Amino acid sequence: MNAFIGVLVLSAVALSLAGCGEKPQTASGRKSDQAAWQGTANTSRADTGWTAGDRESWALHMQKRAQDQNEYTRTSVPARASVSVSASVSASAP
Amino acid sequence: MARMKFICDTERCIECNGCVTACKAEHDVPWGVNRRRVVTLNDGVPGERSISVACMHCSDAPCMAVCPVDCFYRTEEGVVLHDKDTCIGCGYCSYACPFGAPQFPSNGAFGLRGKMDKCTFCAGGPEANGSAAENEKYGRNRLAEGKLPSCAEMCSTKALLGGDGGVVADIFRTRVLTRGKGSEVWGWGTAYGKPTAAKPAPATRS
Repeated sequence: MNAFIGVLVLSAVALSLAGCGEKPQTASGRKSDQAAWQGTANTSRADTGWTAGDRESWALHMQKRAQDQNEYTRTSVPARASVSVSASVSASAP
Repeated sequence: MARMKFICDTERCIECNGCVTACKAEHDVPWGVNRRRVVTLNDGVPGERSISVACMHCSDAPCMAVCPVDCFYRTEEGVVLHDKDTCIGCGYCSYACPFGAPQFPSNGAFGLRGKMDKCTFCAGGPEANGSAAENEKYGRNRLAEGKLPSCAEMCSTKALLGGDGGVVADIFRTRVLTRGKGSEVWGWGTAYGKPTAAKPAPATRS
C-alpha cells in the first residue's frame, strides 16, 4: 500500500514539474522603434547641421539634404520652370 | 512630418547599377538578396527605359495587410519596416508585393528560406538606432545619421531621387518642366541634333 502511495506521489510530482520545461509560446508582438530624429548611437558617422532629439531640426536638415539632389540649385544652369524650389521647401517645412 | 519616398527618372537612368552596388555595400546584404535592382523595359529596341526598383514604402502597403504575424510597421516618416524577430519567413509578403521587394536568402544545401529582407530606406529596424544588433539584421541606419538612402545619394545621374516626398516631387517637376518632353529632352539635341522636318517619302514605281 505504501509503495502504491509512493508511486502515486512520485507520478504527481513528475506531472506537476512537467510544466516547468515548457517555454512560453505567446507572440511577443511588434517592438516599438526609435524615431530617426532621435539620433544614432554611432555619432561618428552622423551628419552635422542638426540636433539629435530635435524633430524640427532633423526634418529641416533632411529637406536641405534632399535639395542637394537638385542640380539646378547646385549649378548655375537656370531652371526654366516657373516652380520656385526654395519657396516650396519653406512652405513644406514643419 | 516628412513622408519619405523614392522617384526614379527613367529619362536619366543609364542602368549603371550604382544604386544596387551602393545598397549592397552599405548594408552588407548577403549573396542572393537584392534589396534594389534595375529593371530594363524594351531592352535593345528604340525607346528602351531602365528603372531602379526597390520597396516603394507604400502608404497602404499590401505586405503589411497580408503578414500573418503582423511583423510590419510604418515609421512616422512613412517608411515601411519589419521586425525580423517576428517574421516567420512564410513569403506571403513576397506574393503580395507588386514590386518584388521582399527578398529571402536562399543559401544552404536545401535552398533554405530565411527571414524576409527588404529595403529599409536606410532606416534600420526596431533595434536601437545605430546599434550593432540593428546593423547586423537590417544594415545601417542613415536616416538617424541625418543622411538620405545610399542608393539615391550615390546615383551618378540623379535619376533616383529619395527623401521627403514633397521635395523630391518638386525636384522632378522642375526637371521635367525645364527639359521639356520628347525631342526637347535634355541631352537629345546634343547627341542627335535639333529635330528637323521629315523628308518627303521617295516616289515609288508603279
